[in-house]
Amino acid sequence: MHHRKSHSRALVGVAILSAAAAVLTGCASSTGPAASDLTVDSVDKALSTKATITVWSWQPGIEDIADAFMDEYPDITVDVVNAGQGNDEYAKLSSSIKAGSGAPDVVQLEYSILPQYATAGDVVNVSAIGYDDLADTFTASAYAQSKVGDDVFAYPMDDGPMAMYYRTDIFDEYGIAVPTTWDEFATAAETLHAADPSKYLTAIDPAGAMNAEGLIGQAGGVPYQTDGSDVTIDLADEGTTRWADYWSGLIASDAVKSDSFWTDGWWQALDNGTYATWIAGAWAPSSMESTIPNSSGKWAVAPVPSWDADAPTSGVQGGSGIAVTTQSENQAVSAAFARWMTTSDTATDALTTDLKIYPTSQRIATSDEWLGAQSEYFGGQEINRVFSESGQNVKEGFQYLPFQQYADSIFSDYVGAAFADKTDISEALVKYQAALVKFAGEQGYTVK
Amino acid sequence: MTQLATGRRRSMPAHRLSVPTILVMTALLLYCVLPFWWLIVSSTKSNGDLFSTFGLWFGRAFSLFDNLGQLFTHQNGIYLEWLGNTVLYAVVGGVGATILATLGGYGLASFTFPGSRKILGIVIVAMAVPATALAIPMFLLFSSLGIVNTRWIIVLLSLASPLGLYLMQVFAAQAVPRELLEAARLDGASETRIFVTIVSKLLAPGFVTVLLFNVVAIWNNYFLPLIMLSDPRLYPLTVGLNQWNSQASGSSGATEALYNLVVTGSLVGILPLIVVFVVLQRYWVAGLAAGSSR
Repeated sequence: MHHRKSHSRALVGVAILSAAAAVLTGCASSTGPAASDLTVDSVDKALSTKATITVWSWQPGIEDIADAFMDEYPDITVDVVNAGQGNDEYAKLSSSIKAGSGAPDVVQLEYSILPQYATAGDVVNVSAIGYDDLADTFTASAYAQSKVGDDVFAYPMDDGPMAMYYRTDIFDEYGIAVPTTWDEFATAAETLHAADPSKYLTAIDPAGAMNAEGLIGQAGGVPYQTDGSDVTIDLADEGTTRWADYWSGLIASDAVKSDSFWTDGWWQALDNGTYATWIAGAWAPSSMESTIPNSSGKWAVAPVPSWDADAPTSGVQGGSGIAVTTQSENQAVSAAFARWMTTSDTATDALTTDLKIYPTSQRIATSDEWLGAQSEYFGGQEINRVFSESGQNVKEGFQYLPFQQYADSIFSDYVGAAFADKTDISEALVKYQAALVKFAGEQGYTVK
Repeated sequence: MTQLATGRRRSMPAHRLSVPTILVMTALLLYCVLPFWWLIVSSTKSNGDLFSTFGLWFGRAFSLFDNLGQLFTHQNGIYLEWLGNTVLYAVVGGVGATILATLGGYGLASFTFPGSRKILGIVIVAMAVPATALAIPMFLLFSSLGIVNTRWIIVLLSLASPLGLYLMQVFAAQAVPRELLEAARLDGASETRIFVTIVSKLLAPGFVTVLLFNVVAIWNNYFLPLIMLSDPRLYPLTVGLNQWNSQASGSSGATEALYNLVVTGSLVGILPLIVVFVVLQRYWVAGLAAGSSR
């Protein structure tokens, strides 16, 4: 009798709780994004309003630049949060957008992921607020990458023109001349591996989707095209096939090794000269300087080998910009901050000198100071000249998918597997394309 | 009790360890100790040495103090915030979870009511649902309640310990005799008085065992804070160190090589747990044996 009374009382309690929960979840429904009534005027005026904005960026040192901004505009408080690098940040960003709250006002996005958020309407179109007038302040490569279609969705912060980092000591020891074309590169690879089977001219990453995209772009491939909700996927086009056949041959002949990058073993291999070159973006030097300082002085930088000796081209790997989210309730202030961060002298100087990231500011990229900077790690070479030239030669026209993150995540299942198994990359691309087409259909895109 | 007394008086027969046993135990010992040894050795190396010297022996320079200095000052001393967060979540969450598990286990073991047998079954079966499947729904649910990205959501969610509940139920069933409860009720004690004065002391060894278990589980919990938190100042050590680790790699660009900090930070991060284990060891061992002596 005693417990029967408490039993029914307990049931009532549970009922009340669940009803309360239902009411609560119903009440706290997500509000839609703030209407974007941004104009150049409103952005300029925003600098003198009182506001607090949250910035998500993984670039170390951004807090110091934000402090400089707050000194100049004391009414605005900028809260810099490192919500993770790359995919970690995007996962949080996507869930906050889906939940309707928690997304930052300003977010750092890689150029390859920008279309994903731009087409979903999650970041603000800044073409309308005077961005196009700023076009000349940015390098051509950076400006092109901040666009999706004809509109601009991010202020470019850094860029990743590709270069070839090579070991001068290994090249000297085996009498290899620095290759300027891909044909020369293939010959050099075979020569090196024949002379010393424990060494390879370079390694290739089975998970290196962005590296592949950069090199495919350099070869003139345009496998992806996006136009609203229409998507074209053609991984068998001329440029992509050229890239695929070239690397299939090199990997099959054992002149190039398939190895997972960013691992302990791979860093050690770079350090001890097992891999004589590394083809990557312009962000690699600071990484090498801090991780493998022991091989300082043994490296040099050269342009990426070209397909045509008379018309050298280059590609991009990485680089990011900062965008304003549509969920933000302070879009004008956020746009003002993003603009200041990428165009003001204070900020751009700090980005290049203190944060050591590759400049997107035309003023800095053409300055003698930056171009003539000598790198001790690279034996005193003026490495920025190589990057600058590479940036100017980037073959334009490469586009990313609106679901590039997904495409990159399954890259290693198809194309990466072909690297590791030394099978034909073109065949793997056919299957990769099929998987991407299927995903596009499931997500509601029309595949042409 | 009498069994133990007799055992002490009789002399124990000499045991001879066989060679295979010694070999297996040595292999197991190495398996457990080698990673820890690597961690200690690697904490004394700088970034350069980490990638160019043998993993199980010291490098060219002894950089332990440099690493420690860098560890506590990098990024405005965020490591100490992470350490503090981890301690907060583990202590508050762990103690809270153990108290709830004790109350629940005692209730399920010593009282019979409709559903008393089914509840435990349902809780155990629910544990089989993978956390990854629940991640986004949980995030959306708590986001609509407005409590994501706070310290309280981590503590709140850590309070649910199904395994702790099960362990306490089993322990309470053995350690709390019904006759004792009946006698206490006959004497006129209220249920609360019975629990606080009699039962809690009987359950003490089990409580410490489950406490240790929960503290370790929350200390090492990675997935829950990863999905619920986006402000690095609220991260526990697991998520924080992983973020530092991924700063050193990235398909589009590495920003900072913090490997030496990740390794040193990991070493410092497990020291509190080792201390807790050593201090509470006798309760834990007693807890294991307590059930068997009845």
